[in-house]
Amino acid sequence: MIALPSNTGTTSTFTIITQISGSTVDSISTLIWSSTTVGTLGLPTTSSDAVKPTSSVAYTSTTYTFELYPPHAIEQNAVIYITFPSTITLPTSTTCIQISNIGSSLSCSISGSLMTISNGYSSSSQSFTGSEALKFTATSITNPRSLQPTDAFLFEIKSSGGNDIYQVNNPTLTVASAATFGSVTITQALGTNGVTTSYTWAFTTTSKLVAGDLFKITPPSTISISSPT
Amino acid sequence: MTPTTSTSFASAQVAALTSTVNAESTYFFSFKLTTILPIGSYVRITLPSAISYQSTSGTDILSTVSVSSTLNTPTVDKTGLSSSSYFDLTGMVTGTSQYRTRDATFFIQVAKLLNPPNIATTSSFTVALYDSSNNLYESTSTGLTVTATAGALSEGTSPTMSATSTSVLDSVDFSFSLQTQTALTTGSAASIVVTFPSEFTLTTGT
Repeated sequence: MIALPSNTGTTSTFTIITQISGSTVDSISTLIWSSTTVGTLGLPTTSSDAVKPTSSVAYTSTTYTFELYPPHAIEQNAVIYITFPSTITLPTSTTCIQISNIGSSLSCSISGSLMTISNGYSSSSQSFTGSEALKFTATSITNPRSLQPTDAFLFEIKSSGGNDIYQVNNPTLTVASAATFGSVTITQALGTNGVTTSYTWAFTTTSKLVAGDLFKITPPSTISISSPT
Repeated sequence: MTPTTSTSFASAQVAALTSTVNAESTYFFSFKLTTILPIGSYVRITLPSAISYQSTSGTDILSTVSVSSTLNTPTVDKTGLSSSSYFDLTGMVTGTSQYRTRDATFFIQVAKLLNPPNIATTSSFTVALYDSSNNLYESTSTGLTVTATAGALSEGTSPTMSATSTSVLDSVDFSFSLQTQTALTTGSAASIVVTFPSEFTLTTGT
């Protein structure tokens, strides 16, 4: 059985000789193999489980759990890279904790939308059979501010020399519930029943607002809004 | 009293012009005798088993001969080549002259020899001086070996190497397409040895 190299880098040279009675006849020692391609990272049965925030409330800073299934071994000193979709906000620093099949001395750093997970395999390579989960958490990641599904996360595992090992660019994240206003205060100008008056709302949001956002106010059935100004 | 031990040559060397395995090459022999050559004496050069004479060639195998000036230019008798892998240099001392030349030197160039089939050092050539009654006067085989150099395996039909999958660490069947320079004999004596780079993992099995 022949197993291909553990990353996509170019190999050193083959030596191939023909022999008669155990002594060389012809030889070649210039062949190299540069055709290894990146492997595909497996995802959990429910692919959205690949990225799970502890809180599924929009725009909440929470701990994320990542779960991936490498098809084969991860070589020593390999590094994991996660490129987050733009709707997720990363902190300037985070703490990563191992759960399974990654070393306990892992460390995570963040640059823009890229999280780099180092030292997960600094002591040795890690074997995987394709059904074993590589699992770890990272703290202080802010959920998307809306319930719209994110773009895909890009997971990459590379050798210490930067050659690709595995990657997947599938999983997305959809938070389950919207954030709740911190406070809402309603003030009516006239309290007499049946009269037309103006109302004032004061909100405290827990999410950030961007240009183009709308407030949608649904009055109770006993209050009707004719033509707000 | 009959001597029981023949004399060794003062010096003898052999070299091939082309060293590649299985290539047809010219061989150079130089040797220096220590005894005096009697009338009718001849020098017999015996090839190691790994070297053969290209008997299909039409030209004389002795294309150049240089010997000590007191000797006649020898002629070659190659009748022994087909059966016993030797050829004789004859006619150096003829007529009424009796013995010629102590320390006679020979430099001969033998074409149409086929190099060894592999890079194993050959067994020895033997160079020997006999008189006309086939008595051995002196002989040597010391240092008279040659070692061929490997031929080139070259890349064959593209792709030179291919695998049933290319994905990292997948277990694959690997294929090579190579062109040999030298024909391999049939049978178990011939083999191909592939040493994979350390990046590959080979385990026993098929």
